[in-house]
Amino acid sequence: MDSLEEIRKQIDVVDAQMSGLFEARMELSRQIIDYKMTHGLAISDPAREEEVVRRNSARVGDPDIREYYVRFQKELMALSRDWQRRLSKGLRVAYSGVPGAFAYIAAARMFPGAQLVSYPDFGAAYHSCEAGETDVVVLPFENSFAGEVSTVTDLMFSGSLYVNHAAEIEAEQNLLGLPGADKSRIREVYSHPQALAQCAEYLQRNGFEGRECSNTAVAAKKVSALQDPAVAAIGSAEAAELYGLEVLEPRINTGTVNKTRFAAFSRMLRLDTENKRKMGKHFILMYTVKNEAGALAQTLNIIGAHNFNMCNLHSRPMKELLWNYYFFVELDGDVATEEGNSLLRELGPLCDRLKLVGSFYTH
Amino acid sequence: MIFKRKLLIPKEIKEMYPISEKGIAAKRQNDKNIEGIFTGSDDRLLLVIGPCSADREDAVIDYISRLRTLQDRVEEKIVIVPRIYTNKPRTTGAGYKGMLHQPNPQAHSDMLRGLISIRKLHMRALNETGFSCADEMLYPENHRFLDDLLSYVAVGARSVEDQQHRLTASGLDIPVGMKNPTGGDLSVMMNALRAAQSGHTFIYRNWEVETQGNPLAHAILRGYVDAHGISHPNYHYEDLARLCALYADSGLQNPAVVVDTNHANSGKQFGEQVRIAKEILHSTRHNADIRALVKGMMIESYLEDGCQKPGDGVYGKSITDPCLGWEKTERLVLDLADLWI
Repeated sequence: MDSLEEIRKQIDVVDAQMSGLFEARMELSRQIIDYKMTHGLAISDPAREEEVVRRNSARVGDPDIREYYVRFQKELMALSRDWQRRLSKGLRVAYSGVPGAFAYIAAARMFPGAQLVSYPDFGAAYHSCEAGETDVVVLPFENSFAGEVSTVTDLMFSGSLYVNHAAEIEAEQNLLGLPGADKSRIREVYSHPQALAQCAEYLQRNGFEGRECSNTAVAAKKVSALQDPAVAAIGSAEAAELYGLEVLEPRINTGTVNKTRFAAFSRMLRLDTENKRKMGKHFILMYTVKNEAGALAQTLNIIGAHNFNMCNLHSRPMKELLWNYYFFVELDGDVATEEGNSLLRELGPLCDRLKLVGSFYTH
Repeated sequence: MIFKRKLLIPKEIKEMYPISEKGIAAKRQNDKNIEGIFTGSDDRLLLVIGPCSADREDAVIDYISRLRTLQDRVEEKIVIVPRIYTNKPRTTGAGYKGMLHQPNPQAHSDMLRGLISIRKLHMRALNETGFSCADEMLYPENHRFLDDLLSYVAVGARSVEDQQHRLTASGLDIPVGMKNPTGGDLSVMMNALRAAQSGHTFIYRNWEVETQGNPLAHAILRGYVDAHGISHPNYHYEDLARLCALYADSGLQNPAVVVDTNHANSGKQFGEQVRIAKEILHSTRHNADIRALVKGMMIESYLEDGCQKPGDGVYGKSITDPCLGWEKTERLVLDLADLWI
């Protein structure tokens, strides 16, 4: 048997190899975050991480050691995420609203550690990314209760950005008022129209009058400024805290599930054909068809012929052309496949304009 | 009849799957070669060869790519036109009706996907191998979906008496082979040729159209089945001599025959095609008229010998009539190149 000295020397050799490998791995993480930043992707990708752990741990022969290896691998990935977060501090993420608004919360959750930049409205936030002032813009595009966010849908159609990452964020709406305010004395409630729509039933039941604001944080700020106990706002607990208000009643939104889907827009379209995970992928197409009988049906037939399940289809007016409409279609499946390529190719001649807005995991 | 959905028009599907510049040039050259054979300026043997039905894109493209290599080897003697048969006539209407109806042979009919699939397959063949291929003109109205891709069409034994087939054939600018009917009556075929070589005015795809007649319309002998259901060949010396005589009295342009070596000529014994093909060449050496009349052969061949049921899933094996496998096909084509003088 080798002496203790001898064994330690061998450990030194292994450690020396591991430090080199660790550094190389962190360098690769840097490349990953560069890619993710240009494509507006999230740092954390739990499904991918799980797969890596499963695949690598299978290589460890001794089952007892494998247990430790799983912990080692998980820690390694946590360090990599930390590192990527530090590197992405320079990432500029635009959102619409003021700190504490729902969009702010969403942007912070989708890009932890990034620098969040506020814009007064959806259009200004979107155009900041188009112009290169920001790297990513996070905007809500659909609410499970109030439906599409039409301004954002219009931007998706007319703008030049792509969606590679989307997240569902629960919109918990609370009644916010001045500290100690009496709920029964409230007359007016300020909030964003979407939030008012989500709480319409509650407002009606209590005889409150809804007043529209550009976003929920602005509403909270206004209530704080007015100092009138008859005025309240609808918004997040974060907004209440930011503007010195109190949650008078939590969860006043109708229905149990009220989620908003946020999309991260960036200037590059990502079509990763290498990715083996096909489940839970969606993509969005927007198009116009010739103004003639059956033109829309033809496009839907093509979609059907390629076996893509259509989750959502709606039309929006094209503002520059009176009584002309474009279509928004969200499809279940992976567009970066042979079927997806054929689909786009075949839709081309049937559409006057066709745009692949993006492809993303729904998680 | 339920009107399920309006389908795409040829122009739309052509825009989806266009031909490359190289493909356009290749088809032009192929058409010139084939026309030369029928008008007599090119003395090479025409082989219309390929699977009974094009059941799957991958195997068919694989097969045609092999034909490309083979064609280059026998270029001096033989002009190959691959068969990509995308629609199949069925005697009772039951069974696999080709890629046009069932792009997935195991699934239900899907005509929209079918129309797109057949265009995509023919387009790939042309763009990737330089072959503009042959198809059966089972539904004359559908020809426009493929007219820029095909270099040869056949009118089948069951369709040859049909007026719309004859009139459409008269308007095509590529050779149309018209088969003898299943009952074997050659006058039916000769009448079809007369119709196809004359000009007509008729309705096509809801248009009034006018045609000039197709001087490249010619005969295909495919054997016949008698009143007792027994197959009889018509590729023998005497049959060919008789067709020479019919042509001589007909006043038709470019007398020509392509002999189908399978179907009732082989009694669907696919292996017999080798012997039959060689016998036809033998006949041409004994009679100058027959030598001038015989332009080529139609051979059913695929990657694997024989046939299978649609669900059996053997790659490159016919799911309709039995075909000659690749090794035997290659041997046969090389032999024919040696024997054709």
